[in-house]
Amino acid sequence: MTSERLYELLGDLREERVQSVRQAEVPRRRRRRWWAAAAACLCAAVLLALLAPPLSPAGVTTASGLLTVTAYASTSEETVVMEEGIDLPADYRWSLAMSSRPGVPLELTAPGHPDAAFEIAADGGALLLWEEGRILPQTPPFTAANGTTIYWTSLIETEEGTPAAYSGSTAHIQVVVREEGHIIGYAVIQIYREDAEWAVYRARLLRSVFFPKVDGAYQDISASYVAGAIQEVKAQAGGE
Amino acid sequence: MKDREKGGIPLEDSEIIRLYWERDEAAIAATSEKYGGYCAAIAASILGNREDAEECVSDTYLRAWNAIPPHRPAVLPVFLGKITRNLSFNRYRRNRAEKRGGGETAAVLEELSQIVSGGPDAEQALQYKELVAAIDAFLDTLPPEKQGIFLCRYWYTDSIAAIAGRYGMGEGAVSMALSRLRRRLRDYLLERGFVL
Repeated sequence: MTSERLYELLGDLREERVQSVRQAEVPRRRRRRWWAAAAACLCAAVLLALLAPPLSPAGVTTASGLLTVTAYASTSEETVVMEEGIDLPADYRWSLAMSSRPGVPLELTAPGHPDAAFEIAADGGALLLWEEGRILPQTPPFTAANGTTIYWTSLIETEEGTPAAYSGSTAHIQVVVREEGHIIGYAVIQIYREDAEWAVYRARLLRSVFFPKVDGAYQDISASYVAGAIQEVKAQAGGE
Repeated sequence: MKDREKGGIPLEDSEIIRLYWERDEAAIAATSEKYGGYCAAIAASILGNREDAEECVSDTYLRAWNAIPPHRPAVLPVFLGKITRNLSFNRYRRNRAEKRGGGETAAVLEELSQIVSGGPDAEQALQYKELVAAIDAFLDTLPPEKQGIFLCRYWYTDSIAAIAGRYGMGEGAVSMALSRLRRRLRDYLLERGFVL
């Protein structure tokens, strides 16, 4: 038998099994040896201590996990809640040419804060909403309600008003969360190009920070402080 | 197009199949919207050529239109994916004769050649069915992750890097796992009397 014939025959494997591969949510693993992981952590801690200015000024209380970002698989109804620093599975790739959605879909929610609103901007590409089958380009920064799904696309509009492809290999979406006028958190999502020829992109949550109430009162977090923190997150992540 | 796209949500598969049975051309648009990316990813992995991949995906819709009815797919995405896979593989062979394109297929075939002898195909259709059933039975003996790695490589023709990314493994670990799976599959089939 030839390998080509075997390849053809493998196409007839049980359909449910074949489907399950793309439906399954794959837990990501870290298989580094413990000492390698420990060494990496130690190095990172030393470097951060030496090089990075603190993200929080004295007196600011932070926690993680206010903003929940849910990503959608490109070929199924599968979704996954993004975790900081963890790449999405390959099935969560998006490309303008190949995908049925108008951009990388990201659902933004702040559980427990139904009245929270999001100020959203991107430093590359373009942001869209997709409602009832209509694509709605957004001019950043724009405000969206809790539970909104935004779409990042590499299709941009030039100053002359003509469509063009975003040429950068990375872009960042920044989300500032407000409640009753107070900033209660922020998040930074990196979009990175995985395949230049096919313009395939994936998303990675770099950071999601929560400023919880202290003694029942909102903390006094300024927009400029958050802007600086976001810049630091982006700088630490690298990219363009 | 009837009662589709409520808030941009794709139709249920049963609804799409119903459109095919009613000979409603909206079936094609619904298929493209829901499974265009899925089929395109398969074609792209096999062909490594965007134009050819897009053609194969378009041809997939036509084949599906001609097959449903009378066929009623049990698992619509895999039904479509199989058509795309077959069309893309045929195109791959044609391209190879013309020394064009590539994708992952050449590497996948090279790996599969470690399971088979490479001799002429003398088996009959019935024995092919038995062989597929035996491979399914072999996969049943594996944990889900190993099944997934095998199918990603040899059904979806995913690259090693893509599989590594999907499963959070290193590329070397994926290659090693596949190598072991190929060896185990070959032993499994030979023990059961299949002539490979």
